[in-house]
Amino acid sequence: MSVEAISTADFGDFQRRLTDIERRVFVKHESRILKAFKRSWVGWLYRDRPAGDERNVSLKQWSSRIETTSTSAVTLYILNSADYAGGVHRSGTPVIEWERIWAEVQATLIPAMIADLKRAIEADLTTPAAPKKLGPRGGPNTAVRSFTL
Amino acid sequence: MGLEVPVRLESIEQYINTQHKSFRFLELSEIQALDDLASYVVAEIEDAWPVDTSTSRDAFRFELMTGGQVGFTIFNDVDYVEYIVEPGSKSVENGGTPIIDIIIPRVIRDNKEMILGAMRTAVDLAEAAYVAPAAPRGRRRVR
Repeated sequence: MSVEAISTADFGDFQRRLTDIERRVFVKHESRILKAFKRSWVGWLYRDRPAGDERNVSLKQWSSRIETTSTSAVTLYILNSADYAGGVHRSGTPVIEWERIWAEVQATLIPAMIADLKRAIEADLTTPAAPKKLGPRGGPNTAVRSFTL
Repeated sequence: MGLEVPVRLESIEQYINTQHKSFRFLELSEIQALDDLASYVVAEIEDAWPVDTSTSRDAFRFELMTGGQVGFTIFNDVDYVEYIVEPGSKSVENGGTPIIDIIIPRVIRDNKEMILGAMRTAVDLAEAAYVAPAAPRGRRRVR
């Protein structure tokens, strides 16, 4: 069983995707949360595993990604593709390790991330935008080129 | 301004439906394959970008579509990106073709078969290893 921990921060009637500055804030927290998982994912006993076998296999499988294209919410994914990562626990406790780490992250790092993002969004909304010269096609809209394969 | 290029792999969505005999979300291994392909496409676009416009070249990034659709969206938030033309070409205002309309379609076209082939292989591997989820453990969503 692999791990897919998902956190969605819903900003309600946000109605636009994150700006580059806001996205950088999100990426900073993504990196911090991924590091928290990796930092905690050490010190395994490897019971019954031969001495020469590779260690820290699932540690290398931690990855993360973010989705910022929704106009109302942003989503953070913390993933581990090792097929046993979702079931491992520490010796002497049945508590699933990734759930324990995720609970800590939700209690500490996720609120900090949401607060930081809200601050960045509010700062952006209250900053007067520099007047922009319209291009030859006019209008402030993003150019979209779609492909379907 | 800026640029948004959704590249939706509809044929892969259909392929998953056919192989799996019903809808399913992408497996992690397929997401990884999609991530690799999107990185490759963005790198190809950056390689083809004129070297004297490094600000706009370095502003390319992408996000994956995994919430029911399969694909990726390429972004470039530089606000003049759609007005860049090949060196020596007419400006867009004077009828020149922006390089986004030259480079991006070419990169997508040149890599279409590779993208679809690699994704079909990823789907085949995921299908072979697919085990129906027995319990909700392993996935949490918080708001």
